[in-house]
Amino acid sequence: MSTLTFARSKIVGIECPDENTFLAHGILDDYIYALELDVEVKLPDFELSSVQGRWKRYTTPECPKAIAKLQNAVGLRIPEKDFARKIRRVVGKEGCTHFANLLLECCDGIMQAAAYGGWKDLEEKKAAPEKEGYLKRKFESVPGLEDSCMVYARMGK
Amino acid sequence: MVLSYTRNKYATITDLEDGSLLVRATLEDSFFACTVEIEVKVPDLEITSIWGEIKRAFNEECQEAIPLLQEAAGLRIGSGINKTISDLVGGSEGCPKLADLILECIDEVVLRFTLPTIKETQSIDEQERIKGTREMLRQNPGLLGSCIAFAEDSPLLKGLELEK
Amino acid sequence: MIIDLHVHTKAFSSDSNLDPEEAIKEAKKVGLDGICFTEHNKVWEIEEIRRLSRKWGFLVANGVEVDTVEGHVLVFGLHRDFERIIHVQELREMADQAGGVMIVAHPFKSFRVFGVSDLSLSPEQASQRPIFKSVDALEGFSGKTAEKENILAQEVARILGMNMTGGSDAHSLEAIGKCVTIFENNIKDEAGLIQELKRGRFQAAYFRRQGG
Repeated sequence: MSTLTFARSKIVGIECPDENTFLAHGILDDYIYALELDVEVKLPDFELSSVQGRWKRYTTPECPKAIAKLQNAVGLRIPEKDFARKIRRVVGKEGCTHFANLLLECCDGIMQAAAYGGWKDLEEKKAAPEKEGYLKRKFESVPGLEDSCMVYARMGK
Repeated sequence: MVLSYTRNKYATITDLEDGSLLVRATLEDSFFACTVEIEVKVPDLEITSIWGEIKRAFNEECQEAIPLLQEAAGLRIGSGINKTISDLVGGSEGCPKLADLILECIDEVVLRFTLPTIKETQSIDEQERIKGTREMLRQNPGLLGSCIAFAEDSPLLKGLELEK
Repeated sequence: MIIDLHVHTKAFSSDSNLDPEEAIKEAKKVGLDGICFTEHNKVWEIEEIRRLSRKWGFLVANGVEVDTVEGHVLVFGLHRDFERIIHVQELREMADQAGGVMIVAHPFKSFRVFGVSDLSLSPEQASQRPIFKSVDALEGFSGKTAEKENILAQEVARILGMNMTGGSDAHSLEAIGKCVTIFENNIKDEAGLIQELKRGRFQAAYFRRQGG
């Protein structure tokens, strides 16, 4: 039986303390690096209002300096054009590519929570509407959802 | 506070007997569960086969995206592959979740081959660690400017002559 | 004539911080005779390129770096943008119709912390890549590739009997002229460049050294 030669895990948990705020907590752990992020995003613009990070394992004495560069992401808005490219530059290239990776994972999780989070509550109350109608309403409030994939692009037409 | 959404993404690599790599990436979140597995031939890093399944999805139609995975078969992991995968498998005409898992597999391959070089720089003695890192940088000038540790004004680069 | 065949500017390549006119000034300063703007998937208007050439009294030529499924390809003589990724064979058909020339860019550009050569990819194995059947030349001297990857590209060119070009793949001023293509004959314009590329009357080289 083969042994693993490399592995990476990423975990993201999203809380909604109020109707205008998402809090993401993310962890990345692989054979080389281990790091953690706390991200706050505010509606209606999905703007990053706070980004805090911590290292657990890194490779050079300069790596801890990347923590300060997380602040370059504050004020950016997830739905804006080239958001991922900007994060890879201002957090990644200017700081650390692994923090940029985890930050993008957290932001994607927040958009997923925005799209589908309400559905869980409706299901639990046994008040879930028909899915297509639910999604079409979400297309209006969650930027980018409508064109996000082949199924939704077709639904939106 | 109780979570409104959770995501767990993990990826692994094992070396097969013929020297190829078997790479598996799985996403399990509150609404979706999917896995992509690729086989990569070494040393050319060609994706020789790809398989995937969607076990849970918000919409049943998501299963229509599975055949898209075959767009990645035959591609070589190298410069430009991220954009190629995003264009062929992701976007508004594809499935970004599956595309993302393929990219996760690709990241794994790159990190797996990066690991031996990183190991060589690791030492209990800090001076030896710095020396190892500088040697890694000297041999891999592509690292220059790639992050804060390897920025042009980084103390790690002071006095270092890079390979042309 | 010494020409940098592969340069990106901020006019059309979002990952470049090179101003086009600053690029031309720098090319002249370091001793080049010409420069080619090969933006990512986008071409300049022909008249604008000619205007720059006239203004600076310097050969400025128009090409494009196209993302294909099989790799990046520099194309000269095909004046169109590319909105989506295509197969290299499809690009070949377009270039042939337009009388253009195709050069595979940095064919063995690898990763930051390891190269394909580190995987013991032999030149013979590397030369089997299908993309080489669809292009007219390969970039054997790339400014964005580690020297060992350039050496691999050069050995593949020798095995396949292919012509080699040189280009910096510059996205910043200090990279301009790092690698060049040296043409035997004088070239006045883009049509002349395509003619000389097709005739294979050139060789590639490192030119501007670090700090030069």
